[in-house]
Formats: sequence, structure tokens, C-alpha cells
Amino acid sequence: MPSLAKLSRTNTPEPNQADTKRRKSSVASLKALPLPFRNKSKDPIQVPATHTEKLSGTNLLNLPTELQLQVLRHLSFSDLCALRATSRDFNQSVTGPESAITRYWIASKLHNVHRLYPAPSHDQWRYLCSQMRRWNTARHLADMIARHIQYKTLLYVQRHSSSEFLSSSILAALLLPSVYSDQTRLVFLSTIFQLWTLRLSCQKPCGVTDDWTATSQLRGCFCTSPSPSVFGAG
Amino acid sequence: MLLYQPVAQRIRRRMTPLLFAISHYLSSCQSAVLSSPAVLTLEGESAVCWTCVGSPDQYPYPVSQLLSMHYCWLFLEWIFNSLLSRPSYAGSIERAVRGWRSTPLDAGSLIQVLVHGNLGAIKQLFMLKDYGERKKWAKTFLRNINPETNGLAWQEEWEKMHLRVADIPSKTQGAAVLRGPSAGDSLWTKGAARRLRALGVDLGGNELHKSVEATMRFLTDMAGFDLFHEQPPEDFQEDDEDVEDDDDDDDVTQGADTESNEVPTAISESLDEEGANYWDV
Repeated sequence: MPSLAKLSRTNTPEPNQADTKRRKSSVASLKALPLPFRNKSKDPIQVPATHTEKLSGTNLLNLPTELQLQVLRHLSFSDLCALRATSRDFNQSVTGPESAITRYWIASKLHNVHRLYPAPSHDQWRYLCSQMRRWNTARHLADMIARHIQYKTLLYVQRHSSSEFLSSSILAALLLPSVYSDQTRLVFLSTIFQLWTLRLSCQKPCGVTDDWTATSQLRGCFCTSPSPSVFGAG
Repeated sequence: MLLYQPVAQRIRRRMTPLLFAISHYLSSCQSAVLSSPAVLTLEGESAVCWTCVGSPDQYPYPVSQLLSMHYCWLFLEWIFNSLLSRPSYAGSIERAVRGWRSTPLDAGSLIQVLVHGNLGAIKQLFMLKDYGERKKWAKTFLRNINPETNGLAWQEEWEKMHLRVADIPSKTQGAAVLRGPSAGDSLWTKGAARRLRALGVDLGGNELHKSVEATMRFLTDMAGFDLFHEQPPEDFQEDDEDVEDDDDDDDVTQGADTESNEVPTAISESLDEEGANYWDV
């Protein structure tokens, strides 16, 4: 009596047979017809082979350098980097030592950067990338600082309006005793007092108010507290 | 928030070229330090003398740019020190709970982080929320680039600074560079004051070092109004003087014919957002 393992081994087809079976059963029916058997009338646009060749990338590179520059100068830097990845020819035309587009970028887009950092005669693409990277870091840092200033200034405005509301509500509670009974007024005043003390305790590390000194204002603007205060979160 | 959007745009537009120029200055400091010879210290160790930093060659900027850069530097120094200082508002209990009791970084280490980390270090520190995290990052950064503490991969860390292969120091030179600066060394101030004096501008004692007034004045100048005491005006608009055209055929000649050493002010105009975000450091 053959064992189960042996049975399973005998029943499973050879790998080559399985491949051929799979090919015959499913893939063959999905295969496209060879070109001579296709119905040419169904093609929407029949482009001659010579025309498509002209549209390919290699022929763009056969254009004069001035025309290439006119075309490629409209690309952004990321597009230029993506263009490098399309073919070896484009990679060579962008990063090569005599690359017109790299020279154009250094001369026109970087403006006066090459006064600070003299461009090398060789490997200008690396130079361009490094300056772009440096500029991008500076831009991001400036963005973060600006956002921080913006955030803190907004906090100040919120605090200012909340303090105005608080003072007016205290005045209302003091000036309108007839509205509330004594007990209600006491509870109301104690609640306001607690809120006020909470606000002051939260405001101290990063508060910016008119009464405070300039030092505390600046410290508030660039306070390094780990999390926003209660009023900031609100 | 939209009320502040033009203000933020203006700050960003004005601050980016200054930060770029400061980045250039820090790079020149780094290359000066890496190319200077090491000397023997009293302890018998070789160390690079950081007095090479601050030579007039490192300030190739016109007067107006140099002044703006000076105030921007003071502001940046303020930020950098506050990022790596223990928060003063934290009481003893909070310090103990958060683990902020250990000694902060000394002045020499701060200079090292600034010179070798450049603006990327400040940006990284800015993104970390906690003082403990920031200090840990700075210590790890210094440990990683030090050949004595990171014997295996220290060269890879130096390569990440985008130095040329020839500029990456040897093992002994790297260790000597990192042993270099002391608390008395200052990066920008002395050299800038000397350079400004040579150009005919004499800064007073208060203007030389970071102060509240100088920083507030700088930020007010960046924002275009007194942002500490006023709200932005409703008809606030950016100055048009900084905004340059993007599509011009004379770009090549403009770049080639300019003879001044002005810090670039309009690279961002030529970079669209997509392109600028491509090099996300």
C-alpha cells in the first residue's frame, strides 16, 4: 500500500508540465493577436513607425543645444531629476560635464549663489544639487520659525480676548448683585477666581501681555515648553 | 490664521536668504577648522585651535547684508541656546520627573553641533518637542561623528554632511577637531565686528551680543510691523521689492552680469514648491 506522501508525489504534475498547462489554459487566450492579424481599421490613430521614432527621447537629444535648452528650461528641478531617470542619454545630458541645462540653472536660477560658492568647472550637477539642498534647508527652517511666530502671536490674541471676557464677567458679577442670590454670587465668583488663577499659572511660562517686560515677551515667543498650554490647546 | 499668512510669508521670504548666507558662513567655518593643523594641548592631546574661525575671508558680504546677517545670527544664537538649555520654568520636581537633572551641554559642544550640523541641526532640534530629546539628539550627533566614540561608522556620519571626499578628516584629525573649541571661543561676533569696523560701521556693545532689543527689532523688521504689540493690519501686503519675476529671458545675463556679492534673494522664486520639496533633507 503506497503511503500518502508517495501518492501525493505521484499525483502532482512535474513543474514543466504545470507551466505548459497553465500557459495553454489561461494565458494563451488572453494573448493579443500578432500584429499582422490585427484589425488595423480599429486603431484610432495610425502612427507611422518613422514618426514615433522621431518622437522618442533620443531624437530630442539630437536637437541643437539651444533648442534643447529652450525645452528643458521650463522644467522644475524635480522634473529635471525625474528626467534623469528616464534614460542614460538624458542622464548624461543633465549631469554631464558640459551640460547646458545645468549651466543654465546655475547661472539663472541660483542668481548670486555662485558668488558665495564658486561653481567648480567639473561636476556642476553635484554643485547644483548641494546648493539646492542648502537652500531648501534654509527655507524649511525659515518656514518653521515663521510658523512658530505665527502660532505664538495667535495665542496672544486668544489670551487677550479671553482676559477681556473674564474681566467683563467679573465686573458684571460685582455690579449686578440683585440678579443673583448671595450664595449663587459666591459660587460664581469663586469659579471665576479659580479660572483666573489657572489662566495666570498657564500663562506665565509663555505669556505675552502688555504688562510684562520685553524679556518675558520674547521668552514667550520662543518658549521651549514641551506642550502647548491650556489656552493654547483651546 | 489667514490674517497672519502674509506676515508668515514675508518672514519666510526675508529670512531664507539670510539663513542661506549663515549656512554658507558655517560651512566656511567647518572647512577652515578641517584644514587647520592640530596642536598639542597641555594634556598631551592634539587639538585644532579654533582661532582660525573668524578670519575676514569668511565674511565676503556687503555691509547691508552683513548687518542683517549679524542680527539674524544673534536671533539664531538665541534660539539655538534656548533649544539646548534646560527650561528655567521647570521646578525641581518637574526636572526630576522628566530627567532634566543631568548637566547640560557645554559651550564647546554647542559650537560643535552648530558648525558641523549647520542649519540642519537647528531644524532637527526645532522639530523635537522636549528638552531631553533635544539634548539626547545633540549628544548622539557628537558621539556619532567622533572617531573615538564611534569607531566603526564615524566616516559615514561625516559623509552625511555632504562634504567632499577630500574634506573628510582622518581619524586623528577628526578627533582633534572635536577636541577643539572651548567656552571662550565665539563663532561670529568678533570677526563680524572686525569686518564691520573695517567697512566703516561701528557696532556698540549692546549690538554685538544677543539682546532682547536687537532680537525684537530684527523680528519687527522681518514682519514689517510691531508684532509684539499690534495685530497685523488688515491691508497688510508684502513689499514688492523682494518679489522678482519668474519668467524672464534675461535670467542668464542677470546672473552673469551681477558683480555684487549680494546674498541671493530670489531663488525661491525660481523654485516651485514641488521642486523645492524634492530635496527634503
